[in-house]
Amino acid sequence: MSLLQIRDLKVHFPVSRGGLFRSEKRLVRAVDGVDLEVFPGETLGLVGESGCGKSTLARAIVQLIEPTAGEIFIEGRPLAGISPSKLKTERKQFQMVFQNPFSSLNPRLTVADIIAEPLKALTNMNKKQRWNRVQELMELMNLNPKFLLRYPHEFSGGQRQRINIARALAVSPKLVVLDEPVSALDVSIQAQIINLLQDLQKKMNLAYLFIAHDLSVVKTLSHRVAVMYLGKVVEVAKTENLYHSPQHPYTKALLSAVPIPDPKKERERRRIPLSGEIPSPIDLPKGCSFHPRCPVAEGICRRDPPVLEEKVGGQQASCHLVPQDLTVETGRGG
Amino acid sequence: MGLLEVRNLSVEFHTDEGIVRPVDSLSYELEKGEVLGIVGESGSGKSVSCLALMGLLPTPPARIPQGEIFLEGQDILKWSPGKRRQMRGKDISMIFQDPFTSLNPYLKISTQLMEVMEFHGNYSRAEAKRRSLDMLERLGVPDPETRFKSYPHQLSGGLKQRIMIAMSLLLKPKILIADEPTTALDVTIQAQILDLLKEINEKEGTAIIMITHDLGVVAGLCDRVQVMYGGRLVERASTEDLFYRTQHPYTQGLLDSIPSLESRVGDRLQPIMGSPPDLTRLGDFCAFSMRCGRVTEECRAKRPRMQRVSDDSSHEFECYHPLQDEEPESKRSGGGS
Repeated sequence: MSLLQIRDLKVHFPVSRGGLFRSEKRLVRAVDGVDLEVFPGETLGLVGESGCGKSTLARAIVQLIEPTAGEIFIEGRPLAGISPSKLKTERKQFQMVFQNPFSSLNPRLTVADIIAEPLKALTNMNKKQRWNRVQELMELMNLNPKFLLRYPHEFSGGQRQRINIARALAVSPKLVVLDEPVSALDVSIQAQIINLLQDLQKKMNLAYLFIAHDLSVVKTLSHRVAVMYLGKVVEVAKTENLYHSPQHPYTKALLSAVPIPDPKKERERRRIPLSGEIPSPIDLPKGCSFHPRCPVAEGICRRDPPVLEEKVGGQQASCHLVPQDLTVETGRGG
Repeated sequence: MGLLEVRNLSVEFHTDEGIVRPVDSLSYELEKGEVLGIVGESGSGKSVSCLALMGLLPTPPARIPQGEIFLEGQDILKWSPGKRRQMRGKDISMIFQDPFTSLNPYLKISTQLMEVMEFHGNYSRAEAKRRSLDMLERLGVPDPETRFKSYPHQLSGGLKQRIMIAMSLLLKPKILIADEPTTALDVTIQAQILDLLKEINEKEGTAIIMITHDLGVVAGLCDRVQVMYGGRLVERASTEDLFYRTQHPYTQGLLDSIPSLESRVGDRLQPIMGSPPDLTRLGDFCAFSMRCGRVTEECRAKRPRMQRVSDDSSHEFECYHPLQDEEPESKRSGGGS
């Protein structure tokens, strides 16, 4: 059974525009109908450009934003409409690590207090048990327990991100939502954190929803990858498949834009140029929302929105022009 | 003599914790039309050295205790502030990492673009406007007339960066310093901006100093690269030599720690252990010695000197135990050629 299941999730923010008297209500469709699953012990990578809704999706999953529509299930149990006390119990299953290691730690608390915070809020451990657990976590993160009474400003970016991870793991969750956990770090430190995340996953059978814009980082960590564009998932596949034979034109363009740290390969390779920029999520284009930038768009793309379906090669993509996997289709029919 | 020559440049900051040297005896040259990459992590001195070049360091707390910067043979550090102001934008211009904060939010794009020309040249308003619009069009800004009348907040990050590049090119500078120009942008937009910079370099012959931490960006764009660590230059080579015949353990560490699109699922990265050096504690020893796997007593006792791979090579490094020492055969054949 899947650990996390999301069905047709929508997060819309109302914005008003116009004058004082004739203001016009409009919607930012930050997340606009997403279906995803995360299985125990696996990493699902979620990539996309800024403004595609990946962080909003993460926040909706950990219940920091209330979804407009759709359902979220943790081990089959729905999160929508449950009482605050029940939600508190469920929160022990999913925790989050934020992007910015500098602003996500309270500067007035010691490291010990920061890591103990979720234990205080979500468990009924006493002071001594909490202290022991915090020490255990520090060792797990390769941080010296001597530092427990220090304050966040005394640590480097990489160490702060370790503290962040320790806080998320304090209540032994099964799912950790990681929102760009390494993008604010230098490359040499980034590699340390990526390795740590891999080790922790193996040790504790953790599932990760790993959100990043760096496709190389995502590849190293993820078992499956979902690509988002303007609030929708446009392609999901096993990591190897997605990187070897991307199906959706957006995935192809995205992959071709990543610079390769090898002069010969980088200079020989051909990019698929994408003109323009990601449109505003207020006025979504008609039909496929990628068509204004798509190098292969046809008439149908401007008329009908495509759906996410099984394609040849075993991955799901939402594009009219990628051939469907008919074996799967007939299999369903019979 | 090259277009630009930096000799023995140091920058110091006086802080409560002591004197910090974010740039320590840096020397390099830049030829006409060349693209030079400066690579390093935060605190390595790559940005500060370029701010010193532009004369944009706040003094105090910054001080330049030693060094010379020759622009076409003239030491610009000896110039008056007024003369250096004339130099900025016209001879050397700079684009910054964050397109969101480097434009003035109160002024229209038109005002900010035309200001550059009005300050430096004898351009009439009409001429300044015509040239600005031309430049926006050439840089692929869609619908330049409308953008010209916009305020910065009405534009996306990629467009703002194009406006910054347009501004920095208006007076046809000889050198363009690009300080992490694509770090704040998405990959598809990054690709557009990098292509644009390449085109400017090829068509106009503008020399570019590209400051970045992204070795992928370096691989595609730069002719030569220099790697900085702890305010010092640790390796310098042609792009190909740096990637394929790496000498310095730090450069190798950087190359090993970046995840690649070609890596496989579950592959382990090889991070550099520890964290970047505390600049207040650096002395006459190798700055990388605290994190280096090849460290010996010698490294901790005295800072190594810059040396060449061979006499006729331009590949230089600052290390007692370079990596290519392990392959005596290739070295011999390299020396013999």
